[in-house]
Amino acid sequence: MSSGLLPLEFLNTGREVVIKEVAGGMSLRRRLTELGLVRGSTIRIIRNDKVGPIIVSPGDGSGGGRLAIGRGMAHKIMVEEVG
Amino acid sequence: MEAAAITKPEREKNIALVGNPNSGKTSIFNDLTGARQHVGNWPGVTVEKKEGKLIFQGQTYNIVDLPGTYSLGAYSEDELIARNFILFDKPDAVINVVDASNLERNLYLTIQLLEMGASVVVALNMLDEARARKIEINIPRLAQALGVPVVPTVATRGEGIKELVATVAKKVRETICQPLKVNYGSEIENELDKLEQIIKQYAKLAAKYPARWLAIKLLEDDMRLQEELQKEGARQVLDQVVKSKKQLNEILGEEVEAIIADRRYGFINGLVKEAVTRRQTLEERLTLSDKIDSIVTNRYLGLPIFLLAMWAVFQFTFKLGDPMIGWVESAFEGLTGLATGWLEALGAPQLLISFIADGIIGGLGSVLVFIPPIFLLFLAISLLEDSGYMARAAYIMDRLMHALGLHGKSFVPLLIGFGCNVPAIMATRTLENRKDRLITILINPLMSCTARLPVYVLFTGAFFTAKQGWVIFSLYLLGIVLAIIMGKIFKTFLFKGETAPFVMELPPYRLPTLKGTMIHMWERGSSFVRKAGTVIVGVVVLIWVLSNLPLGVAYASQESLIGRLGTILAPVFKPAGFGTWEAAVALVFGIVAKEVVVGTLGVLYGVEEDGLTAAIAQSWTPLSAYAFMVMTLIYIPCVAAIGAIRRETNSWGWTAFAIGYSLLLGWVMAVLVFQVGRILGVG
Repeated sequence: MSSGLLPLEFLNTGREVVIKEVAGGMSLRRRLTELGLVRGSTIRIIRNDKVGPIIVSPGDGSGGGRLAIGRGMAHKIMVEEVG
Repeated sequence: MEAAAITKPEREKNIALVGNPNSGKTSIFNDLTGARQHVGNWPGVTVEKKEGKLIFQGQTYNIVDLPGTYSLGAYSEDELIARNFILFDKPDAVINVVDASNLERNLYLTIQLLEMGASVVVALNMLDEARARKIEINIPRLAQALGVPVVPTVATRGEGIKELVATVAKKVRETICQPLKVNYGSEIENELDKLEQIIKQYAKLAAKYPARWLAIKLLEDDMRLQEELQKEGARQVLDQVVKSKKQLNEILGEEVEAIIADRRYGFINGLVKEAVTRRQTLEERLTLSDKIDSIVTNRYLGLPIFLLAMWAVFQFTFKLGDPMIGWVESAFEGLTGLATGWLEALGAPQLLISFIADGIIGGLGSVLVFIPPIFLLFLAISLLEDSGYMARAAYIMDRLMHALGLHGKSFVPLLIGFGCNVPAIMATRTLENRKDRLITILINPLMSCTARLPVYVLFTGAFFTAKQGWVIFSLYLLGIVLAIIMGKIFKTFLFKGETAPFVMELPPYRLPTLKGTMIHMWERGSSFVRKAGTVIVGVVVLIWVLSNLPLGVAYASQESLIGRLGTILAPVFKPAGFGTWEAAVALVFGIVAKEVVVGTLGVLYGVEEDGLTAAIAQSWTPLSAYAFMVMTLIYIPCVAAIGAIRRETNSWGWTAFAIGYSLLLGWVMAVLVFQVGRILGVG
């Protein structure tokens, strides 16, 4: 635990993280799942301006997909930094 | 069997097109069907149903474009439509369009299709983008792992479409199609087996659904299927579901649904590892889109750029549209003159001439003048959408709109409302959440559209010449404030429950294709004309009838039905300061189109437009005039807007609600203005 489980909201631009937990109801998890954000998946933070939604890329950022995630939601996604 | 096989080739083959939003599904559909498309509605819902025909080697294929979805659960109308079509309409083949540069997430849908036992052909689309990103896909290996044909395509350039068609033609001849089995781990598999056995005892269920698929969906908490099983009285199945879930919760320590999703992705990850190699350096991962985004969605630049884009859309729509409106108007005036002259020459009775000229042609004209701005606006919106900018606009506005309890995506329709509420209401289609969409539709008429401006100009010209601009501005502001308040009220009382979480795809920027954009614009524009048009013409004809009955009265005089209606209604508006039958009749006519209020008052006071200001200055006070403008702003959306609301909500109930609440709100506000003003001694 001490190895740093953080809400996605607090991670900076350019970081690569693994989703460890989604602290939300099933409807939230469902929506994230179908967009490819499941436990164990790697995501890369493309932009976090500290206000407004966060832009992430599922996977290591090599794919073209970009998702905008509202801050409320980003608060509930617990992640761990890679490497 | 043999006889059936011989007659079969005559039959039209049904092909469903399935894929994620932004996967290029629409481009594939356009490539396959060309101009042979037909847009209708899925029964009972507002979602559009697009179909098209394709003829290949003498065989006709009916291609049905299913709504773009990420998944095949039962959590949105779109998902349910797609799923039910595959389950119950049993298409001969399903083309699954997959974005090659986003393989993992797209395959999540593919896996679900395969689990349903659909006869799938994968169109591995946007292969050019994947290649540009140095993603190499071993196509034979992918096809082998999925157990279905995979055809590489670049739909925007028409590449691979011939191969796709040939593959589909081969696929429809295959009769047996084994559902894919993802291994969910021994614990879950055990429970699935038990469930399957029980399901098979209910012949009706087993005939309708693939047993294993149904078992998985039930463990995934699919509410629709549970409800259906309850109705069917499949007690034993439901009991076993409860038992299995409890059992699995204990062993796995988590919700089964989450684990099933994890395992599905696990399966996909294994598959992708086998078939895909990525060779990018870290710098190459930042795409051109990301670089554009760092400017366009920048914290400081984002908003100004967005406002500039919206300004450009408005200029484009209304500057270019206004002269065209003039052409339509003069064309209809000419037509009215022609018809009148021709009918008079034939010796037709005056009433018939008036019915055709004022009723039918006038009614049609009132619909058709909307066409130029609507098509232009939809052209602009299609360009913004197809290029990928619309998603960014929602991203930028999300923070502001959040204060209203709405999404960033609601902003664009509200803004368009200042031009015309009709295309604005139609633009709410980009909102996925039905609650957000209904709220945005309901408050949209409070955005003061251009048609209300002539009314403001007339009354402010008569009473507020010194401060005309400010008075008009105050009305626009009042509309915005009321929209915010009503939005909050609707959100709190009518549409309780959590705000839909904000997560949306930002598709890469793309150069829109001319063909795609034109088709997009045409679909939206023409569907307005068909659906809203019938409502508008109906109301216009009704008002014509009311103005001419009983037989022999002067058109819209106090003795006509509408005049009598005005006389009856007048006392209602007395507390608001304009309790005259003329005002009441003008308001009734204003429902046709708000600017008609001006013309009607002209007819009723028996003056031309230039004498109207003087006539009004005599029988109104500044206070009652302001109250009347407030009423005009708020009360009942015009028929065109009503038609659009009816079409977009697909519910007469919500349409009636929109009419009712705005009428009440308008009256309350007008009375409030007049009474408070009187107490304060204004006017």
